[in-house]
Amino acid sequence: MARDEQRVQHVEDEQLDSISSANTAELSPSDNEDTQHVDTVNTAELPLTMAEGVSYGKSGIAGIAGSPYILGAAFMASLGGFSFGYDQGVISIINVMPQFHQQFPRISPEDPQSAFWKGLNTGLLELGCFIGCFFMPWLCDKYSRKWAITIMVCFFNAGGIIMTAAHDYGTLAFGRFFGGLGTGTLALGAPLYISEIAPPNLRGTLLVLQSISIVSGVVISFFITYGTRNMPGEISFRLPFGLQLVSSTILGVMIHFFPYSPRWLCLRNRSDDALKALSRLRRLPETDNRVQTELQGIEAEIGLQMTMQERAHPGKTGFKLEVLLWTDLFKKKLWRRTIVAVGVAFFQQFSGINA
Amino acid sequence: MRKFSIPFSIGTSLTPFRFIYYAPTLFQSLGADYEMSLILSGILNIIQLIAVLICFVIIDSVGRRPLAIWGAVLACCAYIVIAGLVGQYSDDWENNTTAGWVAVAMAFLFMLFYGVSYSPLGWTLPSEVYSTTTRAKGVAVATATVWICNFIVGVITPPMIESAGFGTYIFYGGWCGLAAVWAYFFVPETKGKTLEEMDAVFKDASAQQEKEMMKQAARRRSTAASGVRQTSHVGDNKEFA
Repeated sequence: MARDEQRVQHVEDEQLDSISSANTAELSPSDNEDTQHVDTVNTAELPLTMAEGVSYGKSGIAGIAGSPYILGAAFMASLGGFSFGYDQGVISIINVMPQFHQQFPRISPEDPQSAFWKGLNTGLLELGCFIGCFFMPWLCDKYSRKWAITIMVCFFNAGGIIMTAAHDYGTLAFGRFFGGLGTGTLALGAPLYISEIAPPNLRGTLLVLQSISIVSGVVISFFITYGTRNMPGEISFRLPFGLQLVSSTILGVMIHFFPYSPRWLCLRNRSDDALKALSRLRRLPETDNRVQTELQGIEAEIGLQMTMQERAHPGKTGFKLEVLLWTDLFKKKLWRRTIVAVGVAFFQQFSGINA
Repeated sequence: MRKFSIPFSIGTSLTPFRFIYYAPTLFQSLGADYEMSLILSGILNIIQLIAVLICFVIIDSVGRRPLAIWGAVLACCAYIVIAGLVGQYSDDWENNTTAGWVAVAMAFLFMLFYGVSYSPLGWTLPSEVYSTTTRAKGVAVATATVWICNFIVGVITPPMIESAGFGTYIFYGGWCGLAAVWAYFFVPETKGKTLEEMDAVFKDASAQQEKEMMKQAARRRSTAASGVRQTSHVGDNKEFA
């Protein structure tokens, strides 16, 4: 175990060491048979595990500049984050608008209970977000990342329309809850799709697009509401509420001009489509070594995961399997990943302001 | 009077109190007029945007792990300074304007550190660490954690500021310190790796039965791939034997 721990940091260094010092006596006959096939990969770059590192060129900003297509796809997906940020920001000024208080007297500071009603209004949004998170993965795995995003855009838009049209507090609160189902899950769908389409050298940068979109959403909604705050009457808050439908609708429609996640396609046993999608996303021919290598890594990984899943939960299907897979996240095999994923989410909220 | 209430208001509002929802309300309640409180909230948002843009430029060269560790350490330091200033001078900002403005500067710095590190990492790391079969669920659990913690922080902070005062900053500074320790022990570097390489990064697929399956999968794959795989197989065998 300790040996394994160390290796996390030094996988690449150890590749060379262990390759050179490896004991050939450990080779099984079947392994030797495999070695008859044609070489396409530079051995010095071969990692120890089945998945192989693939280098598509420069990382970070320099790489982004040379890959407008993937940037476009990631940008489109990140509009999910924009919608979420906009939705969050828009309420902050509306909450202190006299016109808003006139329409919804419960939120007006003159009502002694206004803090509670205001809190309930934001709380219901969060409840919607929270509940939505438990349906989204099923949609993502069954109907694809892209269609799940579109379905959630429908929820988001329905909530947005209810909020825009609301004439009493109950309707407004319901709109926020219903919209929350979409808001919370769009914030989830975007990084999922981006991480699966991004080449490894650009993945971090493209994922940060999500955060940029969230914060831009907050800033833009803030200044839109700042601009409308002096308009007379209801339009001052109904216009900013209504405008949230723009970015989400663009996302729901335009995302379909980009390919499906190659990893999702492999998950659904559609390897040929996955190859096409990957080749489109990488702007390389299907025969390119790097595309081939990456695809083989994806297939091998999914094949292994499916076998392990079958072995861990033999004969289970449908809802039962779904529940078991959720509990797997907290078992020994995945706990280190869950500590990272849940930990970073926890500390994001417990170390600072949300966004 | 009003003149001094502004730095004080910013000093107080840099708690992880949910700025984005309540910032204007909060500034107002502390004496800044409506216009001023809106502008101040706008400035804080823009600082966060700049911070996230910095992260956009550096994340694939610096990597996730240093951001997670140092972002938390620096945010913790900012909190400690703020806690000290608020503890010392919060009764009398009028005669300690310098201290008030230092607290404001620290608040802006905190926003910067946070915006470069945990603000984007919270959306980045969860989608990188899982394998394709579990990724959607894993990201969902992380996102659900964001919502629930966001709710908890929103509920506990206002009464805490009332009763504990500068202790609130120590409380959240403590979480930042803990985040640094957590990052040091648990967050691996995922920079430049394919999502399929995460098994190697985490080393959690090494149970005996899985070693066997990995070997089989590697063999299956190698029939479709390369021959100088000879060396890679030697490596594989050493790794999993």
